[in-house]
Amino acid sequence: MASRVIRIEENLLKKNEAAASENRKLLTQQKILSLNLLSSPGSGKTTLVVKTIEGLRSELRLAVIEGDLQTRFDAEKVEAAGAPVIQVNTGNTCHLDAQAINRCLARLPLDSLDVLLIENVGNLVCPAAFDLGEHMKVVILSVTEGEDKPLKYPPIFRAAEVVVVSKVDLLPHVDFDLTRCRRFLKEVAPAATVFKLSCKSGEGLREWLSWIKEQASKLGTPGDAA
Amino acid sequence: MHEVSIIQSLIEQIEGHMEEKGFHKVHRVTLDIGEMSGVVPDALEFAFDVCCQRTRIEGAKLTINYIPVRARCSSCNGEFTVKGSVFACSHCGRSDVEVLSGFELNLKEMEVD
Repeated sequence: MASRVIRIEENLLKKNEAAASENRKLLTQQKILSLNLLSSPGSGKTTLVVKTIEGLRSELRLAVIEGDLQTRFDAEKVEAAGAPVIQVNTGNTCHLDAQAINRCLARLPLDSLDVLLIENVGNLVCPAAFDLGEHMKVVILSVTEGEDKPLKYPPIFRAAEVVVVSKVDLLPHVDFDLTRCRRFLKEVAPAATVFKLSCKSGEGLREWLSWIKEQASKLGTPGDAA
Repeated sequence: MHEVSIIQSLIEQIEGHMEEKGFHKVHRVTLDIGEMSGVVPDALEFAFDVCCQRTRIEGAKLTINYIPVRARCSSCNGEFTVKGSVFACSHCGRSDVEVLSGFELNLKEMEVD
């Protein structure tokens, strides 16, 4: 029999996409704002997660999914800040996927949550391809990394609804050009909301926390932990 | 680095189609890969060769169509190719654009027996 060509036109991440829509549906139904935090290693994701819990825990009920290749170090820091956390150790895998989040959601008290923070594996490439079913992707870029990252890693910045420029207390000590950074972000991700903050000095944290509250209330979250 | 996971998922998909459509041999697999999909075609080819070994797909050839990023401007309606990650319209400079292609990660077709 002669060979024949069959057209398929199917997403290679079909399974991931299916799990992601299931997650998104569940999170939306439960009115849980979910943010996928993405960045290179060492940008300050965990510190931002801890500050976010500390700043919002009296008003909102937060939980965290921590993705790392190995260790529970980050999970311990988050637990100490007072939020339930599930650590996902991906082994040698460079990203979280929607199926892993699906398994985590089954273990979280979804009826008593307002916000879910998902700290992805530190990596500016691979996690961009995997929709987790989050409501928004937040890319964190620290000023020690250089302002050219948005143009060097366009897929992840293009996918971001929010960009957080972190560690701005270090601006006087590093050669990070904030104006160029904003220009690059405008080119790659013109629609992204940009925050600039420092977990160390507290600068810009209030704006970040108010934004989360606003997004959570848009989803219809009750807004208090009672 | 995630090219291996993507190819593993591709192999599962192909095996599913083999079961479902009842063919026994895959000669060629064609993928549409967008420039902004975040995967490297060379790495996909390497992962494909390695992961197909000792599967029913072993020996199949992989063809990758690398798709440029194209967008349409919402203001002037002009279409343009996004170069150097600049998504602003190349005709009028506005940045409110609709992306038309370049993010694909698709199994397009297969040549089978």
